[in-house]
Amino acid sequence: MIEAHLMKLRARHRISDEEEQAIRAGIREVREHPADRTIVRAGEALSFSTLLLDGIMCRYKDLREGQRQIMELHVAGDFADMHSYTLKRLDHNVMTLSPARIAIMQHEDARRLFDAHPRLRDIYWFGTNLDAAIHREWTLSLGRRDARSRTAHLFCELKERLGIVGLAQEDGFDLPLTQADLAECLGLTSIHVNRVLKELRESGILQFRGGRVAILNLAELVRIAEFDPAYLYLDPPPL
Amino acid sequence: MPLFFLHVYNRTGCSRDEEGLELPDLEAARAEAVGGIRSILQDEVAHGSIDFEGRIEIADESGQVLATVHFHDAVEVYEQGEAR
Repeated sequence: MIEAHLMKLRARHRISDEEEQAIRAGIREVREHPADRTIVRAGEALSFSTLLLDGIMCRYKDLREGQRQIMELHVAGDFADMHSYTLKRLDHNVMTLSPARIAIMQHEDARRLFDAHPRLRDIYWFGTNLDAAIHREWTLSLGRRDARSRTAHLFCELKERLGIVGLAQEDGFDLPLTQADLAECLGLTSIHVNRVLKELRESGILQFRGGRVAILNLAELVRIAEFDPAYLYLDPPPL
Repeated sequence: MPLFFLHVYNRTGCSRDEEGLELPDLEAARAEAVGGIRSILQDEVAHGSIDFEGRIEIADESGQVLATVHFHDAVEVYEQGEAR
């Protein structure tokens, strides 16, 4: 059930069988949600964290007129809000972008897990720091990359992150998002995203159609994105 | 909500909208088109050019064009010396 999560952890850290069993024991509930459902609202009191098992989720904030900015996409294996373990409420919302299966880890179970296995506390701390690194890279994209480079960068990031949990290949990956969803990630409009995707397609770099990303020229995609996966900390020193 | 398709025509050809957007009415679709044009022009300006040759056709699910928004209708342009 939490195989993707274990793959994500083991991509960066050694996890013993005993630690694996302890993590599994920390999860006592699984929920299913349809697409486009806000499952955590900003400000509400939280006593649990949400682990995404299948599907795509995001963190977002809205302005008064409804303009939405997605701050991070979450893929299978990610905790969407392990930071609520210490914050106890969020400053943003969490929603599903595709049908999603999530596991609930009660904060009291997380505390028990971390008390029994202090190294896991460090490993989950690493995980929230990794989220912060992703946010910094998105800040760079939203502030400084142009539309084409920003879009290319998002696809490069998703290829890496989905690849870690076995959901991407060298030539592409499934991505059950709409152009409107991408626009909300990229700070663009759906119309503009459509045009950028046309340019990428006509340049023979990438095609996004019907929920599938086909990477036609990875080297060129990486080049225009100025993508450097260092911020994903794929090979950290042991904790 | 009805589905609107916003096809962009400009110098580089046509970007057809194959996905569509769920919007309350045609007015909302027009506002979306204006926002889209502004977003494209903004990116062009950042690269040092601006091209008003283009339009967005708003179509319904049957493919019928309900309205057209021209790029130059999405922004007001003031020439040098002209009062605003």
